[in-house]
Amino acid sequence: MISGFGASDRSHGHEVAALTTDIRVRVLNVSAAGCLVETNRPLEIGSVATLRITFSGGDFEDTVQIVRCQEITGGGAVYHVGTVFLTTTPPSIESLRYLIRRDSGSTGWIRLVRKG
Amino acid sequence: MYGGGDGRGQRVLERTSQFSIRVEIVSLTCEVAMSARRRDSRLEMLNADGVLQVMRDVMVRRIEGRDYLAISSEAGRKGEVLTIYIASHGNQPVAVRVVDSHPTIVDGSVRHQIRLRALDGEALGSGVTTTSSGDSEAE
Repeated sequence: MISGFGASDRSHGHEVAALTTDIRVRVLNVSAAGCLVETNRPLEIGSVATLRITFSGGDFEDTVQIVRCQEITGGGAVYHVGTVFLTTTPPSIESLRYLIRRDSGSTGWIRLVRKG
Repeated sequence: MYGGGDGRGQRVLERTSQFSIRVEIVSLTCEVAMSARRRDSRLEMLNADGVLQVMRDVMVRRIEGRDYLAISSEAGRKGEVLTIYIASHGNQPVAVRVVDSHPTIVDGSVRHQIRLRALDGEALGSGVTTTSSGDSEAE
């Protein structure tokens, strides 16, 4: 059922707020431009999110925008979500951009393997 | 496997203990051509888990008890646990659960009215619902 909600309702006790959803992801790969992650739910293209990864004893995070969401056929509820970094702050030592650029060096290919 | 290397092989960065890492050259042959539209080489992160925190702006109103009513551009999923940050409460996080969600019309556009219930322990920070602005919100 669809109900109405007008400007007068909006001004009646409503406040500006933000709702956040924490979605567990598996990071498939990363580049200087963004990350490809795997989730079990679809995400809206254009959404802005914070991606946080724990790696090698440290937490790294950055702001990303979702640019692609592709359902993986035959995989149940599995989606590959492409994200690009949004440069809203300089890359601090806790940022994913810093981690990626630091560990990729200038020669290109690095495979980050976490054990245990 | 991801491709596009320059033939110089592939380094592997391994975590051998919590605070130490090891780098070695492992392969010269497992590269494939990279799409021309990719400007940056990709780095594979194996077994790297993370959390994507998706944020959306809403209008929210405190209703009876521990319930909030939010107007959002996206529907809520019943049972889903979210965190709400109310600007006038200093953006302190409050853990809530979606108890209902249905479409509504706001100024001619379809939006979603989501009923949220604060979880036990409520504020993840301190005393969100006991502020004076919280009282006025319940009007």
